[in-house]
Amino acid sequence: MKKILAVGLMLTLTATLLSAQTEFNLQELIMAAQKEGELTAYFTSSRIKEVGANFEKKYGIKVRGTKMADPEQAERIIREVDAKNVQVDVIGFEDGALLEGKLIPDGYVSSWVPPDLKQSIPLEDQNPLIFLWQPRIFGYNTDSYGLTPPVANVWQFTEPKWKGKIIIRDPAMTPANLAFFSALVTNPQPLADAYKELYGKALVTKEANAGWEFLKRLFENDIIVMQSDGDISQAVGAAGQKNAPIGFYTLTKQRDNQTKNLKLATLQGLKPFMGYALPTYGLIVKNCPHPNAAKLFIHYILSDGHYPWTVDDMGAFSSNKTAPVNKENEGTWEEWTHKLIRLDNKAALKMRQDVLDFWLLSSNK
Amino acid sequence: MKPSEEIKHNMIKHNMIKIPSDLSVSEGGVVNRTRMRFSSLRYEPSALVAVLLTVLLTYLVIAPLCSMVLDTVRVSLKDSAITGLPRGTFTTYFIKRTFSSRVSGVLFWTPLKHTLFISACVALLAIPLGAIMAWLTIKTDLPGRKFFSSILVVPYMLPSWTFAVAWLNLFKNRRMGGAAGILENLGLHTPDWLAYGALPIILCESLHLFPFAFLLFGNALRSVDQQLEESARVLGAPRRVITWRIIVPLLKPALMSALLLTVSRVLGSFGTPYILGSPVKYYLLPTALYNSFKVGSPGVSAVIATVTILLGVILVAVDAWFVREQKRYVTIGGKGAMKRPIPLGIMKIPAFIFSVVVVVVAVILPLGTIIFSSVTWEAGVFKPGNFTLAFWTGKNIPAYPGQSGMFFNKEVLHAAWNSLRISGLAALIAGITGLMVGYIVVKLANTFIASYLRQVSFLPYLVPSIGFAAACLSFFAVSRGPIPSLYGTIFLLILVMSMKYLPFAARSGISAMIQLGNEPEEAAQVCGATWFTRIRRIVLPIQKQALIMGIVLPFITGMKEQSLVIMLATPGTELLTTQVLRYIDYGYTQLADATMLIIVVLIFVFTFGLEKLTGGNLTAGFGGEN
Repeated sequence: MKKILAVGLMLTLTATLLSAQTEFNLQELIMAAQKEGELTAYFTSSRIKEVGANFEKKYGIKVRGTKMADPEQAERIIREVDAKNVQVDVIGFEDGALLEGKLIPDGYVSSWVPPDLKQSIPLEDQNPLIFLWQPRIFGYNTDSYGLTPPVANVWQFTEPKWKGKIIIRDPAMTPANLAFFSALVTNPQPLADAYKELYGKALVTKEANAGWEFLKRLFENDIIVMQSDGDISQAVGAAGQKNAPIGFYTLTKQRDNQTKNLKLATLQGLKPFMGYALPTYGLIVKNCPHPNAAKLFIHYILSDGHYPWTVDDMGAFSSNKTAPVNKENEGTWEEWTHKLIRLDNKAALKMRQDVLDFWLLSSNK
Repeated sequence: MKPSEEIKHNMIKHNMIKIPSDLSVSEGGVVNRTRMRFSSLRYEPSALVAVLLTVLLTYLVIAPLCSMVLDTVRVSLKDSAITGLPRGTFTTYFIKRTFSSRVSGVLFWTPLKHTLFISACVALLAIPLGAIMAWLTIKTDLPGRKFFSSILVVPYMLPSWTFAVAWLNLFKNRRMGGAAGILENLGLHTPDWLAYGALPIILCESLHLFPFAFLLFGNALRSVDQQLEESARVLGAPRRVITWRIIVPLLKPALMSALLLTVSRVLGSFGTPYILGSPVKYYLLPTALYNSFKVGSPGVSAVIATVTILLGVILVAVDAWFVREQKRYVTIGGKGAMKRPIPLGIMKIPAFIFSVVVVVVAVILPLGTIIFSSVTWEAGVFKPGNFTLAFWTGKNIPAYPGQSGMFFNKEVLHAAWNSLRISGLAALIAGITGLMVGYIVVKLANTFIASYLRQVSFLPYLVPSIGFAAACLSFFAVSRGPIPSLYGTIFLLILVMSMKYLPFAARSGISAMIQLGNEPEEAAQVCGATWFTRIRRIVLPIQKQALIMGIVLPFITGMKEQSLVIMLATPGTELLTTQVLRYIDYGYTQLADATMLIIVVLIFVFTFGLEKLTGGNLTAGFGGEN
């Protein structure tokens, strides 16, 4: 009798659990999350502080939010999970190659899409979950060059005129930039065409293709590296410069035109691309101490929580198609995607070492 | 046990009384012998302490390093993602990549060349400067020498990267992001070679490290027994002969120490080459190691870290060889020594001006630019409306979302508390362990265990902070036996820091114990004092100053340590120094500067507070008046 009772109880429990899984209930998630009390988040964006404070205001759950670059995040997550001492619950991560190549397959983090929001997020952004899109673009200083972009074709960056005047984030420490370069060498045709368009003749190269040749010329043109988009936008945009450099930074930095008196503008019309589409993935860490709060946070940054990124300031887009956008964004995300290269995580992982070595060799010549 | 028995015991121990051999046969004999062994431990527990120390240091220093050496041939998760090699298997790929691939020049050989070059230049600059200043303040009648001897310790108290930050404030040009430096704003274009790379690294490192030589030479000069000089003078030796035949030879150990510590310091210093070298891709081994780590290739990082450890071991070997060649000095005499300053004569004014210039360049200028930056909206702009106290007393500073001035900033206050308790505990552990190492090394001199302890306790100094942190992180992140995983706890930080700073304390402990010699303790032993009594009544009082130095120096260093803790600190265990880096990441320059000033103020307050509290005169110990 006891046995039957126990089995019956178990069945009921299982059924409840199953139904909880199939029928998503935001209220239940909020209650479960509030019981957990707090949340630790590592994000690549400094806006995590503001978003965390808003989250606490709305749900009463404290967020310890820290800005942290991808390599450091990966290092910590691997260590924490391996040590079975997980501190962080949720991450905002940009290194898609490492994510799809290792962190997800090996079970360090998992991607969770809030069932009630599945309809409004494009399928290709769901696995793994992307919550934020940003254009990383080439920009210039209007004090130096006026309102007409001084460069119309990326091959001009490799000319003597721009020697020592192109600034990018250190590719060695910016996996997304490596992924961008990988995309150029795996799909070189647009660059080959752009070369012909600019110089009126086909490119002759000893390298494997136009992508490698472009990278070689770009790196060897005394390209300057900096550690953050903020540094780059300041160096490029500082008011009153005569021969300001051109920088490769996230569009969102142009918000500082007002707050820091910068003179940044995008190189609109740049051929064959203005830059690339930088995704930020929102993920939950394995065996994290506050799993429900982590889920709620993911839900939050896909619904109301993304405002500090996408609405309050320019330059970033929610992957949620129903989300409002900032008016200064120079177009919708749909329009932007045509001007930007989309990264391919699988190719980026495969090419990473080669591209990195190529960078190390060319840039240290 | 009565004193007479104690004496008898000692006589037994020293084979002065033969014990009847049948004692051990009888039942009571075994008990007696066991009791005797225990009591022997009570009188002479050095061996037990030595064994405990050996086990402890092996586990905390050698084991993590071995684990890292293993990482040079073992595929980690991150490497497996990029190289496609299965995780956990063994490979020579990383070694080949570091030493003999097409990228090995960039990854390793060029940084190695740079490191050797910078080390040599810094040694050539910092040691003579330190020696000259020590001689001026201790041996001559330089005006204000007490003041100079106090203030010249300051550059060493400042975080090493203070000078790099100050340098950028002055010389930064348009190559780097953000606002330009002061000179650039004044219309003077600073070329890249002046703003970044080898030259500024050498100057900044020298400014930071010369107090090291200053302290070592100061201590040596002070402890030279005046009677040696007096005797020579009585015998009619001229000043020059006294200097070259008596003082200089006695300073040789100080010179060797200064050289060794300076070189190893450059080998391990990260902040300055990172800040000043990166803009022109001028890398040293520590920054090359950091790059590999940041790029996410743990295998190559482990190889580079291992090489720096090997270089460190070579330095230790040189040190050991040198010490063996040298005779040991007992330089602290029991008699009072008279001091007679050397008159500088017409050189008095130039020497004074020189000293003032050193103080201005090494102390006032760097601190000045940072204070200046922390009270301006835009660094480097001289306009009345540009000055503000918002970064100190403001709440919710505009354009700095969620941030308040230092006094109301919860993050900063919490980080300050962390810095204090972590450095404080680490320093205490390091200081006591160091003195114990010193005691054992001298007590059991010429034994294997003594030279093992001496060298192991010095080893962490030669391992670059980042490398040591990486080694400890991978070793202590997993639970081992009774010890749980320490990742993300302050215990890991305390442990790593105390081991990293053990060399300071052990060095000061060893040299203090060598100077003390065995005689006072043996005298007490003959009088029947137990080991604890001897330690409490003789060793500790005499070594009070050494112990204070062995604690204060690690504490000071801990308060400003950055490269050691940057990988270990997690949100919640953030320290002031890592908070500075976070602020730099956010682009909150002034908050970073203000936080840095808090570090500086705390260092000063605690140094002088401890000095007052213990009655020990730290600056005197560093080479001032007696």
